[in-house]
Amino acid sequence: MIKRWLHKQVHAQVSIAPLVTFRFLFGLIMFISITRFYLKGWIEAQYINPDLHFKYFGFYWIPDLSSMGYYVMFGLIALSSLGIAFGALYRISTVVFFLAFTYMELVDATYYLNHYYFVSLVGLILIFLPAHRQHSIDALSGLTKRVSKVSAATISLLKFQLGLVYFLAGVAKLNADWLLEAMPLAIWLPAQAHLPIIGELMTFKATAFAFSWAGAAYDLAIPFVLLSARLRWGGYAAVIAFHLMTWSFFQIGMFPFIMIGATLIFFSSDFHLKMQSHFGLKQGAFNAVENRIPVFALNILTVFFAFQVLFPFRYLMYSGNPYWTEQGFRFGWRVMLIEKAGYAQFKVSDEGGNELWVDNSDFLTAVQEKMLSTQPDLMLQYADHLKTHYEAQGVSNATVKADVHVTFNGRPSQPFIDPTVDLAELDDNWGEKAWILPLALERG
Amino acid sequence: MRQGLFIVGLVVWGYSLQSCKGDDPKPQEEDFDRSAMFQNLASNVILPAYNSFAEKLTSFQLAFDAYKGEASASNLEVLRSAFDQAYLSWQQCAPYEFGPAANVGLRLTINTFPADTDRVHTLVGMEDYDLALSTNSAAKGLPALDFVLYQLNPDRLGDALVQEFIQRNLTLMSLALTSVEADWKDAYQDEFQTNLGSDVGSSLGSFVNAINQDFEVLKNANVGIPLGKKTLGVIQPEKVEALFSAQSIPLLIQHLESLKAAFNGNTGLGLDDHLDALDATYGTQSLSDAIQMGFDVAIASAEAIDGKLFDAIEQTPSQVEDLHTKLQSLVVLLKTDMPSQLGVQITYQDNDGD
Repeated sequence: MIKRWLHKQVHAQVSIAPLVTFRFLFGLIMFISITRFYLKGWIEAQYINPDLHFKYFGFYWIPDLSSMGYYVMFGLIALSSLGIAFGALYRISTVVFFLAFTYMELVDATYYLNHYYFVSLVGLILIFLPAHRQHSIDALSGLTKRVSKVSAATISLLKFQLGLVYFLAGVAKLNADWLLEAMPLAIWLPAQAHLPIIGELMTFKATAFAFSWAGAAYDLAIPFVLLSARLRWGGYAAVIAFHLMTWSFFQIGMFPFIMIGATLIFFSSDFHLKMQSHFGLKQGAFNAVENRIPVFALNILTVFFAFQVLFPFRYLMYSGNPYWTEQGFRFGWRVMLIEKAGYAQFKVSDEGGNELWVDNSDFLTAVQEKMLSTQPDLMLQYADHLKTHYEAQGVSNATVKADVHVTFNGRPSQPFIDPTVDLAELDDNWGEKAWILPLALERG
Repeated sequence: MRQGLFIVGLVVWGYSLQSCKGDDPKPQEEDFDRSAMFQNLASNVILPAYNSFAEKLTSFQLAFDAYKGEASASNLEVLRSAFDQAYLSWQQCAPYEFGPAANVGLRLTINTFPADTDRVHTLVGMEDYDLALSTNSAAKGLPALDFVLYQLNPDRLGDALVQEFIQRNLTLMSLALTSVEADWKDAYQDEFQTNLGSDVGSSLGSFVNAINQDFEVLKNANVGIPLGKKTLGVIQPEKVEALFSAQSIPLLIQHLESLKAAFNGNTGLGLDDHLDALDATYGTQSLSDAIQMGFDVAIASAEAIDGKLFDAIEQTPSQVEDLHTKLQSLVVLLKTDMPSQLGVQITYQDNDGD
C-alpha cells in the first residue's frame, strides 16, 4: 500500500502546472527581495562597510569581494531570479542563482537566517527540475521542448522540502522555554501592546502561551494538513494568517511571502491550470515523453534529505542547552526561538601582562557586534583577528580574553564564557566548546 | 470551517493550559502607558534639560559681554564660573543624542574632548576660519573654551582674535541648541510621543539606544581611555573631560545623575516603571532596583575619588579602577537585561528577519 503510494508520488506522470507557478513565484519574490535589499542600502551596510567578515566553520576560504564585486554578485542574483521566474536560460539561471546566493550567504555568518538557508536549498533543487518546460521564454524560443507532464517526483520533492522545514521548525519548538514559559513570545508580544484592538490582548501571558502552543501545533501539523485534499483550503488560510501575523509583529522581511507563495505547490494540478488559464496561459497538448526518474537521482535525493533531517540534531553531540550555547544551533530551523542580548568586551594582553580593552566598534558594525556578543564561534574568529591586528601593532605574544554577559529568554544576564581562556589560542572544530559556561541563573 | 474550529480549539487549549498553571490571566503590563512615559520624558526631562542649558549659555554670553566691557579679575571669575555652570548643564543634555540632536550632531558640536589644543592655539591667532570644518572638529565647543579660559595666558583674553574665537563658539553652540529645541517643539515631540512600537527607529528603540551609546561614551572617553584601558595600561590622564578647569569629577557625577534621570523619567513615568510593569526581575530584586543601585554605586564610587580626576589617575588609580568596574557592571544591565526585557533591539540597523 505504502509502496504503491510512494511509487505514485515518484513516477506518476502529472501536470507540469504546479512547477510553473512555483518557478514564477519563487523567482519573482526573490527578485523583489533582492531589490529591496539593495534599496535599503544593505549591500553597503552589510557587505561593503565592514572591515571584517565572520565566516562559517569550514568556509573560512570564502573570499571577500571588492564593493564592485558585491554589486555584480547581487546583480547576478537579481537577473537570475528573473531568469527563473520567466524560464529564460533556465538551467544557467538556476545554477547562477544558487551559486551567487549561497556565496553571499557564506561571506558573512553575521547575517545567518534560516530563510536564506531555505532559499539556497530550493535554489539547488530548482537546478534539476524541468520547471521551464512550459510557459517559459526557453520554451517559446525553442531552446527546450515543451512538455505538459512531468514525473510526480519533481513536485513531491518540493512538497517534502517545505514540509520538512515546517515540521522540523515545529520539533524545535518542543522545548521547555517555548512550551512551559511561553518564551520568548512572552517578551515579544507585550512589546506590541500599543497596537489598536489586539494590543490589549498582547499583554496577557495567556496570549503568549496560546501563540506558542498554536505556533508549535501549526508547524508540526501544516505539512499533513496541506497534503490532505479535504483540509487544504483551510490549511492554506492558516498559512496566510500565520505568516501575515508574524510579518506584522516581527521584523522578518520577505520570509512570510516566500512561504505563502511556495506552499501553493501543495495544491492540485487543476488548481494551477485554472489559475494559469486565468492569466491567459493555456494548457497546450504536448506529447508527453515519459521521463522516469533514474535510480541514482533518487539515491542522491535520499542522501540530500537524510542530511537535512539529521543535521539539525547534531546539537545532541554537545552538552548544555543548544539555545544557550548555540552549539549546533544553525541550519536547524530554530526560528524565532530565542531572545538574547549580549555584551562582549575583549581584553588583549601582552606578555608583560599589560592589558587593553578593545572598542568593538573600531572593528565591527553594530549588527556584527550584536551577533558576536552571543555566538561563540564568532568570538573565536574575532579573537584571531584581534591577535593579528595587535601583534602587527607591536603587542608581543598577545592573548585575547573576553568578558561576555548574555541574557537569554528573560533570564538575568550571566557570564557566557570563561573569562580566563585565551580565545586566540583556540581553533574552531566540531568538538565541545568547554569554555562556554553553563546556564546558571534562572528567571526570578 | 472545521479547520478554523481546529485552530480556535488550539488557542482555547493554550489558554486553558495557562489556567491550569494557576496564574490569573492578568495583564503583564498593568496598563503601562508608553505614550504617557514619552510625554513625561519629553516635557519633564529632555526639553527642560535643553532649556536649562540654553539659559546657562545665555548667562555665559552675558558674563562674556561684561568681561569684554571690563577685563577685571572679578569679571574673569564670573566668566569662568558661568562657563563651569554651562558645562555642568550640558551633562543633562548628553544622554539624548537621537532625533533632532543626532541630526545636527549636537554632542560632537558641544563636547568633543580632549580638545586639540594645538589647533585651538592656531585658531585664536587667525582672522578667518570655519569651525564646522573637520580639521576643527576637536577645536570647538566647551572643551576648546575650557582651554582658552583656563589655560591660555589670561592677558590674551583681551585679544580681539581670542574674543572672536570665544564668541564664535558661543554662537555655534547656541545655534545648534536652538535648532534642536525648535525641532523638538515643532515636530519631533509629537512623533516621539506617538511612535509606540519597539522596533528599530521606534521611540523606545531610539531612546534606549541613545542612553546606551552615551553610557559607552562616559565609560570609555571619561574614564577608560584616561585610565589606559585602550593603551595597554599606559595612562593618559591628559585626556580627561574638562582638563583645564579640572571639574572632571563633578561633571562626571552630573553625567551619571542625568543618565539616571533619563532612566527614571525624573519623578514621573520612566523606563524603571516600564520594567516594573513587565515584572522584570534580576535575581531576587526587580531589574529597575538593580539598575538604580548600579547608578548609585557608580555615583558613590565617583564621589569617593580624592581630588582631581587627573591626579587620581596618576596617584590613586585604584579609586578610578573601582569606578570603571562599577560602570562595567552597570552597562551589562543597561545593554542586555533592560532592552531584552523591553523587547527592544539594540542595533542601529533594520534587518531581514529570522
